[in-house]
Amino acid sequence: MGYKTVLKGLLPLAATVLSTGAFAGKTELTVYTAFEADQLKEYEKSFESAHPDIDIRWVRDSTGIVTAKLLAEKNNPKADVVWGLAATSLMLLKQEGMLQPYKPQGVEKLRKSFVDNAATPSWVGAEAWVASICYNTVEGEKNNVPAPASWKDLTKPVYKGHVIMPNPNSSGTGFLDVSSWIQMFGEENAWAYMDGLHQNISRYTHSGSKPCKLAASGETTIGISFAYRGAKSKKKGAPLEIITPTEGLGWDLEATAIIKGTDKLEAAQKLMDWSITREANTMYNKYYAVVGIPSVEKQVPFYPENIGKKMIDNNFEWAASNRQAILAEWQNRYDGKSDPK
Amino acid sequence: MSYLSISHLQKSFNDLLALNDISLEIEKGEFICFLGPSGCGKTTLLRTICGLESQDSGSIIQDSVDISRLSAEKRDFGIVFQSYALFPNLSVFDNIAFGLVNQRRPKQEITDKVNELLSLTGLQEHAQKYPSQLSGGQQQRVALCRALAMEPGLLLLDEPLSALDAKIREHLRREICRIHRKLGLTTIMVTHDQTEAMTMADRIVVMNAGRIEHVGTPEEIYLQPASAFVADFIGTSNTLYGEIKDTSLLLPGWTAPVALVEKRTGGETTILIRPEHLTLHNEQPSGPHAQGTISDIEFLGSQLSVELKLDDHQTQSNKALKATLSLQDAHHLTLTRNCPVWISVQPNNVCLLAEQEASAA
Amino acid sequence: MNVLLKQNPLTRLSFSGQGAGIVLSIIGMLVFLVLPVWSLLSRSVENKDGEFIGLANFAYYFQTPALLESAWNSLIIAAACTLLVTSSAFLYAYALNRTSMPGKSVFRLLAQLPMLAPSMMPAIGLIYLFGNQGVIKEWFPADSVYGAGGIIVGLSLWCFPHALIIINTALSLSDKRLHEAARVMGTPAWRRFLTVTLPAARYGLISAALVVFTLVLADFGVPKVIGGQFDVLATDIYKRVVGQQNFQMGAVVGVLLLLPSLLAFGLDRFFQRKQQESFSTSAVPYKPEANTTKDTLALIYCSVVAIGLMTVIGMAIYASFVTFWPYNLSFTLANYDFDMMDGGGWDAWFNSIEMAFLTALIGSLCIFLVAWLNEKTKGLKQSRNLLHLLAFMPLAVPGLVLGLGYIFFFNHPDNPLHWIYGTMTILVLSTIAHYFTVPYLTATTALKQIPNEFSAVADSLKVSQAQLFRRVTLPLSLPALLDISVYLFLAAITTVSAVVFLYSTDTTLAAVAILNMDEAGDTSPAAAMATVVFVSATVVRLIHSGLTASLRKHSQAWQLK
Repeated sequence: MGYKTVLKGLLPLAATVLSTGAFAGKTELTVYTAFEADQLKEYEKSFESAHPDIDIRWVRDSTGIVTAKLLAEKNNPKADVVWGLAATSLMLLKQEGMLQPYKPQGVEKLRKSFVDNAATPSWVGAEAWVASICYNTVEGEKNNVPAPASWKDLTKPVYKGHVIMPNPNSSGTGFLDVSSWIQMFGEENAWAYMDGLHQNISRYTHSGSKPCKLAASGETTIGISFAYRGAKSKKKGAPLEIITPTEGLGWDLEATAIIKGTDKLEAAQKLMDWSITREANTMYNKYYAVVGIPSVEKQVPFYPENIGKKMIDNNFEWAASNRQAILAEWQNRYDGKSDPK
Repeated sequence: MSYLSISHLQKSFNDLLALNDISLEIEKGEFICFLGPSGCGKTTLLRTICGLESQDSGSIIQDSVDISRLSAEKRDFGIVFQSYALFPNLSVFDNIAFGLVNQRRPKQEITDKVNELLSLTGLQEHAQKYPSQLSGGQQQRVALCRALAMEPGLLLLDEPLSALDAKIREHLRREICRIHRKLGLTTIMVTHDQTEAMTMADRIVVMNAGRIEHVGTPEEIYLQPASAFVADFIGTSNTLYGEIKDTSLLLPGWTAPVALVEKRTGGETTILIRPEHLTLHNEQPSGPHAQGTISDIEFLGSQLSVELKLDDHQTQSNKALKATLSLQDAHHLTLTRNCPVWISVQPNNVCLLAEQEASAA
Repeated sequence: MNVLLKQNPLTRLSFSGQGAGIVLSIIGMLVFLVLPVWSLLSRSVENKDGEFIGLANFAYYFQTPALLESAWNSLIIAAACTLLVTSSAFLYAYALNRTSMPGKSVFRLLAQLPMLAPSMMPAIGLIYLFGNQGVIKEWFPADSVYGAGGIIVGLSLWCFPHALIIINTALSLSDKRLHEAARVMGTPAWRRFLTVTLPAARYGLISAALVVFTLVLADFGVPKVIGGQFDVLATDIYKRVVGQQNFQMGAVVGVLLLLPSLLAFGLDRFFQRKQQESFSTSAVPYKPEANTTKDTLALIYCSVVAIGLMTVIGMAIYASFVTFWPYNLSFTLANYDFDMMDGGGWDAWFNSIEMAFLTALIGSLCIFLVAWLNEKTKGLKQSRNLLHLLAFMPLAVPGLVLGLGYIFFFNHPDNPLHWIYGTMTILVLSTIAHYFTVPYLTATTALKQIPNEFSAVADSLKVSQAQLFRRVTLPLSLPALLDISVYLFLAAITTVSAVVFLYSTDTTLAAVAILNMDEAGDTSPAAAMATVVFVSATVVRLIHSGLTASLRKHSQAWQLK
């Protein structure tokens, strides 16, 4: 009788589930991250080969969501380390007193802007990710939509319905766009700019890479995203042009920090140490042009050249302390979609 | 002491009094029928005896053991239901052996026992079949075997024949009686079919509205019904109201009083006369009689059923009288609709209801 | 417990084991259904710090036009889908029952396709058909597939089989004799349709409409994938909770989602009771006669619907094998390299299979046992009535609401069951609770067909109820048990609604992975994962058919009737 065999087969399965045990002898670190999913495996492998006694357990989501999750878990933290979260978010956590300061070995080799400026830093940067516009040349031609050269171009009527950008509430990329516009144009002008831009936006996405992926697949002509994602899609053969607007580029650091109260402090510190080693920086440089140790930097294929020069003089402190107010204002203005189309 | 002694059973479902002060003694080896219309409490009584229902008060003693509060599986009975309730996924053999196997009896013993029962009921060649491959009558016999397999002290039959065709019913009726005689097993059968009860039972318990109306042999029940209900339920009967004076009874519409067989105190009373006990005449007979008009005639094969109305306008009973007579008797008479007839009755065929019954009715 | 004491000693003593079972079942229902929903309700009237603030959260909600608009959008979508699905499913069922068109069994099968897929799959299929790079983009009736239009079409496709099953049953129960009587009286066909067919099916139609309404309201897979900027309650609740970790507002939206579902549930119960009253068990099944015009029309209609369903699902499958949509259409398996993407990789699929197996196994046993306790044991009448009522409750609780309730209830540090939070266990339990009612009804129906006399016979034969259960009840109920387990398996492998709040990094699920991949813009891999789920579900469905057939063959001997 067939069904009996099936039932018998199920029993061991149930047994294994019930006996989900811990890995013997290894320290398991719960690491919250907003690194791109396609980078995680490599990062994990590199770190674990350097520290075979530590296992990484990733919890990955968009920047905004990881931030919100960490804040929500403030009284009952689940993460040990945050590796790869926007510096602005980490500053916010620092203000909330959630980070464990630690001076990792070799911190002096990093760019100064990549290190929290306290005596014992609460976070250290890994790489910088930089805002960019992904422009689909095929769709541009088909729809008669010219390539924009500046942020301001995007408010022109010709772009109506052809632009997608990430929602800053959930996406770190979305937030660095908004924060950079405010820093570059001034508060009032920036909101006026966004009011105009909003008219042309067809959709706000949850994730920062989705606009570029949608541009890559022609679902939209223009996706406001970040350079790495554009380069990656271009490598795959997407008809993309990665545009770095003339006014300047918002950027943020993906940084590492230890969550206060972790009972695996030693392992967490090992991870923080390793995250700024030369080896780690070389690894980041495969994807990002600007990393913590300038001497390892090499040109990243398909990456826009000299992107570093267009990066604005980002005031992280300001961005972090105004983050919540900016997001609330943004949500009030645009998240309503009082005009859905 | 009797085998099964039931005293003062009381049971109600919400507002409905299902068993109202039931007391009954059943002797070892007796075949008892619970008879009554649907909803009279006969099935509830049966289910209470075996513990499927629990009484609110009263006691049941079986074979000198008080089983009043024992749960069903601790009591000693076998049961057969109207719906057979055979296990469809088990063969005839496995159905009958179900209880024996559970008791881990030796294999040989089980086989012997089952085969014995199968041959008792003539089902030997069906042992390996499934219930759905058998006819209704065969299935009911399997159910009977299953109930007998554990050699219970008490056999309960809950309308076992009601689902069967008329012919098979009659056959199985005799079969059950034969098995009962052979095994001498105390048996209680619930039925609403009076013929079944009359032909099978040693004693009949007639029930109505949660009460026992009459307990007696089939003859007693038929000839001396204890109440109008019993008389009406068993066969048909004419209910009349009369007045007793000294040793005779005056019936409305009758020319003269009818002599009484038994002695009664005077006054108004209810009497019953079976239709077959009314004699019809084309001419005025001698002795007490009444006159009427035929309102309807029904041909029933071996018998003729005649409905007539008494001419007396003071008739208290608004029921017309019924008379039945054999075809042979009818030959000597001229019976057509609207023709006048005379009726008479033998004094020993006039049944007086018990006094309290008479006043209640 | 009052209820216990009221029973008389006989029943109490002899059935104490089963009584304990019933009490245990009730406790189970309370812990895994009632209390989580209660936690949600209470959270909706608290502020961030857990202080009671009355209806302030609701006041805030209703003062925010953007939020209010989601509620309005939800209602519009639900109304549109209900109308569309009920009418199209009715026509389809009508063709299956009342015409003699060829290929009915094929059409019956094809109509079930969407049940084997998570709701995101038809939405993804629609994107490849009608999206900005869709192959037949121009055919879409609205401006853009992203928005209300896409949501309505996607959800309608997904709900279609659910409505069809109900209406099909209603139509097949219709009494042939009524049709004959009407015909003998010379009633024209259109009047027969209006006076006989429609009234007989009306409770089925109402029931189907309410089921679709509830499903649409509670689904967020479709609006998430294809909704664009068109927000509905279901996506709102997700945004508040996952995006902003704003649990109070999430609870408020949850309550708003719960109310219409409760209303629909109440109406459905009301009409079902009416239907039972009007249904005659002696109905003679209707046998349609050949009618060339009618049959041809029916064939065309059913073909269009079936091809539509196949195209949308098929498109998602096709796109999953395309290298780089729409610029490089060469074949690839790269989209199935899930380990390089968001969503949890192939582990998500393994987790899903494991979760679905456990749900099917544990769920079938628990649900069947509860149904058995309720149907086949005696005594404890009030408790059993309560249990029966509780068993129906899951129908009225949308998955998102249940999932959110689980967070509130089980993630509370004081809850002794806190440890199940973030484990496979909570996923399995929430899924069983969410999908409890339909299997429970299946089990109850099957058990009702087993005569109550069996238990009396067993008593008289000194055979325990447990033995009776093992040797008779269970074998007789095997087909129903198989149906239940496959239903639970399919539900578990395709669901996102409750589990989206409850999965953890170690227990990501395939259906949730589809969402996350789509969210990250990886539409083709999302299509690939949907295909994997679809194929898994299909395989299980086929195994189920095989098992059922072999079971039927095995038990043929005793199932002649």
